[in-house]
Amino acid sequence: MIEQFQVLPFGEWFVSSAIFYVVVVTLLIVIGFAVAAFLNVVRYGPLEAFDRLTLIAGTAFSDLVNFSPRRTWAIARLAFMEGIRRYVLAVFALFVVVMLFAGWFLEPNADEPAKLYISFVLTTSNYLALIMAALLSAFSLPSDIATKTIYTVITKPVRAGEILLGKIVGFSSLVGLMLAAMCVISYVFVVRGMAHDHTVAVADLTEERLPNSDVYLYRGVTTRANGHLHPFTVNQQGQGETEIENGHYHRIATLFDVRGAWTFTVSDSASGSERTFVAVMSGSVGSPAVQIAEGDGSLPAAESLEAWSRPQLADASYASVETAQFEWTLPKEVTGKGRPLRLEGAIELPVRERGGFLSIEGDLYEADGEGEIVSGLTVRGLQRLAENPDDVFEMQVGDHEGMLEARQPVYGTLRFLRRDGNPGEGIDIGKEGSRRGYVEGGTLGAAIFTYDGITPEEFPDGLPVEMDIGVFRTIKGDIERTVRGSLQLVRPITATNTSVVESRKIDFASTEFKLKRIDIPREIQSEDGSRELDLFEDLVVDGKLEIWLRCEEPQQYFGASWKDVYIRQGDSSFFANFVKGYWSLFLQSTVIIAFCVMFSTFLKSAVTLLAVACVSVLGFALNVVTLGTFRGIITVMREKSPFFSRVVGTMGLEGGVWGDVFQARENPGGGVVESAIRIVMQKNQTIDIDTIPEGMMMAIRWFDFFGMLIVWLFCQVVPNFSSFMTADFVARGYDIGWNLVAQQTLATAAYVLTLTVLGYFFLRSREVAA
Amino acid sequence: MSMDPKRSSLIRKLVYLAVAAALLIPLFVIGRPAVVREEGKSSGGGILAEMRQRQGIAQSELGEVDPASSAMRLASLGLHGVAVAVLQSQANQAKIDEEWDEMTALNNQILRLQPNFVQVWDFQAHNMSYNTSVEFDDYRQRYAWVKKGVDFLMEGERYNRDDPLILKDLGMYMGQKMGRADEHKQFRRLFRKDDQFVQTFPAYIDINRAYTRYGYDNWLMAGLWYDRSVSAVDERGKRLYGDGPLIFYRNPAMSKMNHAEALEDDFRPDEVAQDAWENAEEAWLGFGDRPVSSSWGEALRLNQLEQIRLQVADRERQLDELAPGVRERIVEERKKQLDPLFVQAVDTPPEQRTQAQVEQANAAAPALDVDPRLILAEIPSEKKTGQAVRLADQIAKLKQYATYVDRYRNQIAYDYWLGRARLEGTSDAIAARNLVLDAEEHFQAGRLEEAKEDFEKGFALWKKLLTEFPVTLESTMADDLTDSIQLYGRTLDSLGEEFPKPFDLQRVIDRQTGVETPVESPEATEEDPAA
Repeated sequence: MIEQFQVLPFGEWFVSSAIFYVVVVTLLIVIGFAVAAFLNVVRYGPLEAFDRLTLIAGTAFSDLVNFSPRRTWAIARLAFMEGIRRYVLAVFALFVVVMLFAGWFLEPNADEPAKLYISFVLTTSNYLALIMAALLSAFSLPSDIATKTIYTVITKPVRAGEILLGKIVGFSSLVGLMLAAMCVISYVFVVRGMAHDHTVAVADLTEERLPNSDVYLYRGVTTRANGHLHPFTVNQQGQGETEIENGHYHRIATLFDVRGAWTFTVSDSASGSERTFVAVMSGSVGSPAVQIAEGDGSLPAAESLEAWSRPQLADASYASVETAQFEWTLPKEVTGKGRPLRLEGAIELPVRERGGFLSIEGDLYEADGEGEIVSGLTVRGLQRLAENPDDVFEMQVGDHEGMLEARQPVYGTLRFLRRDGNPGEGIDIGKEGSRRGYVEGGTLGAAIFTYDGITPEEFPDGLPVEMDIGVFRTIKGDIERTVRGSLQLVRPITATNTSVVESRKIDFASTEFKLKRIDIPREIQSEDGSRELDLFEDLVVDGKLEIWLRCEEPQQYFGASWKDVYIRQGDSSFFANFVKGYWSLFLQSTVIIAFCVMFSTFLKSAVTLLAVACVSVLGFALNVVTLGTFRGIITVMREKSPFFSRVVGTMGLEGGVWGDVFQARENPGGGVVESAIRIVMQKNQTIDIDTIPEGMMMAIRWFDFFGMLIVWLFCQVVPNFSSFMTADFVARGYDIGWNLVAQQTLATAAYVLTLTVLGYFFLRSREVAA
Repeated sequence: MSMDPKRSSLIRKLVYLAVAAALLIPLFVIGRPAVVREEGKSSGGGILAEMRQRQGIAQSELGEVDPASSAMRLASLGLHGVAVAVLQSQANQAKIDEEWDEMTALNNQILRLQPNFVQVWDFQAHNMSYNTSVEFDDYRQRYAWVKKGVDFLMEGERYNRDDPLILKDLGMYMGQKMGRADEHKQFRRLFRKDDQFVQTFPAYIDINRAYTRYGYDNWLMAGLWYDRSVSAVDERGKRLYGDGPLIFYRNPAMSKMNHAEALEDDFRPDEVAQDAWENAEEAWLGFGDRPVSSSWGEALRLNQLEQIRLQVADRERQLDELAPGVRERIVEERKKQLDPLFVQAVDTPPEQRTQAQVEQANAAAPALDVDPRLILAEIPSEKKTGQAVRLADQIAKLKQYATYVDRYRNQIAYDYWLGRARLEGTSDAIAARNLVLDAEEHFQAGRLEEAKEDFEKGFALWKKLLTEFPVTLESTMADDLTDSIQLYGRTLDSLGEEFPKPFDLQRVIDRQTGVETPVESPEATEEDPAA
């Protein structure tokens, strides 16, 4: 699985990429010209070669000047039509079939089903789109050439460049259209796959009184749906959230049915009288009705009912609705004051009253007055609840939340402190494939994340920090509890700030493989507890803030990589993110199409496919190849050339962005030939081969060096497909930034342009286009 | 050549068609799936279906065919072996990357492709219950992953009806994993109340039988799965593979032992535990009565050892009557060649031997065992009747058999567990355990006098029990006692008192430390209980 990768800021990316692009293109031009010149000279002799080259250059220039978007578009339409005749429908049908049966293998009861579903649809779409892109474009031009249809096109005033670009545009828009359809189907598939309903019943709640208080909590478990259930806790009003299971939670609200017969008494402290009435509430929320009668039912005293409301789940702020407000006008027969009065009160809805009594209490106001309370009159009422609380209460479980998201994280840079408090690297605990550095608990060791762009405008309510850290125990410790750790906010030392300000430690119990959220408030105590710190005034410097992650238990370890602790800036739309994911797939397919069209100008279809397959494999494995070979080269060069070594040293290339490449590293085992010799001689990577003379070994190493150089050079022109793999962002619920979208789009455009030009010359070099 | 090419092509096509049609007939005969009739019986189906039925491979009936699995195998065009290899390596990578859901999804795909390859279920379930679960820090998540492995195995069992390996694994995960992991207390606690989980077990597991006063017990549940695996072999003709028969047949009884032991670990020993021990003893004896095929080709019954030893003694007596004094003479001669310490050990009555003497006597025993043929050789030829030869022959065979049985019993600590169950089943044992627990509680609360008193009462009971069931001195139970003895020592220290000498449970300490405490005289030991 492709890991989420770090995205460079656009400016930084653009400058470095643009320079690189110019260098590579220049190299291509130089090499291309040299090769063309050489071939022409060999074939035709120097004079004619010169003529031919100037002719090609001349026509190329005129082709460029006379480039016609209209003709290109015409070719594109033709390509589009051609594509529809070929494979598109079949591939699309295959996709639909896969989607139909996918449900058999995807488990909605996985720990994080959304991740599973999303990466499945994106991967499937990706493979199908790539295959289709390659098949479409690899066969088009060669078959045109083979069937000589190309001549009919050439006879028209269409230029070679227009044919190529037209084909690329036509095929990629076809693939794009198909991807758009796949996107919609996949979206529906994912959303439907995730949808599920739980129910809960008031009768099944267990009551728990918080120590030393009158506050009660109610615990329960939802019914099972999609193979999971959620334990939950609600407050006395029956509101709360479930625990996170399978990567999501639900909100719970409890509706209370206040309809029925209420008994209430009106006591008059002046006369000492107390009269009992019965109010029968009926109707619905929109059109409520109440009838009030003397306790013995003798006197119908219906007057009017202003309004009463009850909490609604649809109400976004339902969490704050804790009581049902009501407002009745009591007729003069009831008030005993000779005039009607307005009763304003609230019905509390404690879930704990299930099966018992509910009470109302309210104040009486002058019905037509200015909200003046009539003193001396008190109203208290009771309602007997039904035997089965679920006849009265309705607990509603909301939709799943936290599953189909597009979080916008602010990532920081990460450095470590060793156990003695000095800077160093994170501890490697020897876990295979782990990218995390670990810090030892109960020591001065810490993982320090430095964030930029922390402003009060972005985070007015404090910082929502989310963590997904690794836990490693060296002793069993307390099994019942997870390992404890802490976060601490620290004012970073910068050019403008030299004073250390630390907040108090925020303790947490670790969770593994589950996102943990910690909300850091704007006001936080200082380390020594002496004063309140303001997040932005005291701790943030120039938008920069450090968060120190520590493990607080001795002999236990926390592990983190740069992306494991971030500040959640907000959320963007999941659908938009999903579309962005598909946009990446589209760009990837477009690059493949451009390569195919370029290759097919001089290769047969099958060979084109093979060539594109090679490019794709290299493109996906690029990170591995480039870094590996580059390091090998640098190491050899630094060993062999003290001058080079000095240059690297004085330019400070060993640190910073290039550090990963320029730092001298062991290159155990050497290159291709050396490795082969080692295998035959059964010498492992670290043993010196002493049976081969030194000079011979030297020669082998230089040979390997040039071999690596060639591989590296080749890799530079191959698109880095892993930077197009955004499936992981979508699947894990992280927003694909517009920055990344722009980078990918621009890179694709550069490839299309370059490959078109390259293909133009190849096509021209074939006599057909001349 | 002379034929019209068009016509020849037509004929060729027709021939192909005919051959294709003809080939369909054997295909039908071989591949016709069995169909479930209304009364629940299935028609025999084709040859393959019959073979599947005979071999007990599932999905031999049309109604049972898993469409997902079949579709996937069909779609892979016979390359599902290759696909499985690729998926397997991807699943492994997912595990390394800690992408647990992806790993599970891949496992599911693998098994759709190879549902009848039992070892794959076995491997992947183990991956979940054992390897993945420990990657999580929270014991509840660990428990959830153990359950996932179990779920996975149960699904595997649906594809592979009555497979003894899968059934046995289910018992093992339910028992050993939940009951022996570092988190076994937590796991067992979660399991006790895990209605949701046990409700998903197939109908043939009568979950009520694993229900105790405290809730569902993982060990009892394990026993039910083991029972099922045994009955799959015994009654439904499945071939036993994976484990040897001795271990395999021991499982159900052993899980009852573990259940009883775990109960005493989790709760105060009471009549529930006592019952559990009694059940365990019964199951253990039942296991001892069943014939277990051995690697010598003979089926053994572990309970027969005592009976056979009596038979040997009886026949040896008969043989000795034919050659009076011969055995004694040979033994005496051999004793002269032995180390006098060993001889002394042998001559000490078994119950009075020290630990070292027990070992010495055991070491000397083979040398002092007289081959009946030696005695036979000494019988004067006129007395050497057929009966004598037969006796010698029988003795040799019986002894051989006894050796085998003894070895098998040792392999699984048969005597220990039998003795243990008998000991723990007594009211004295319950009382002794409770006394020691009381004492420990007193100690924690600082009530040292009461602690000392309860310790001593408890140890006195333990001494009695250990004398009665000496075999239980071995292994785990004595280890528990050692901890209590240490606490007792600390109690005495705090009270400023000396550790008593001789101490009731000196042998427990000796076993633990490996240091022999000299016994002053046998008489002194005899008087001890009174002290």
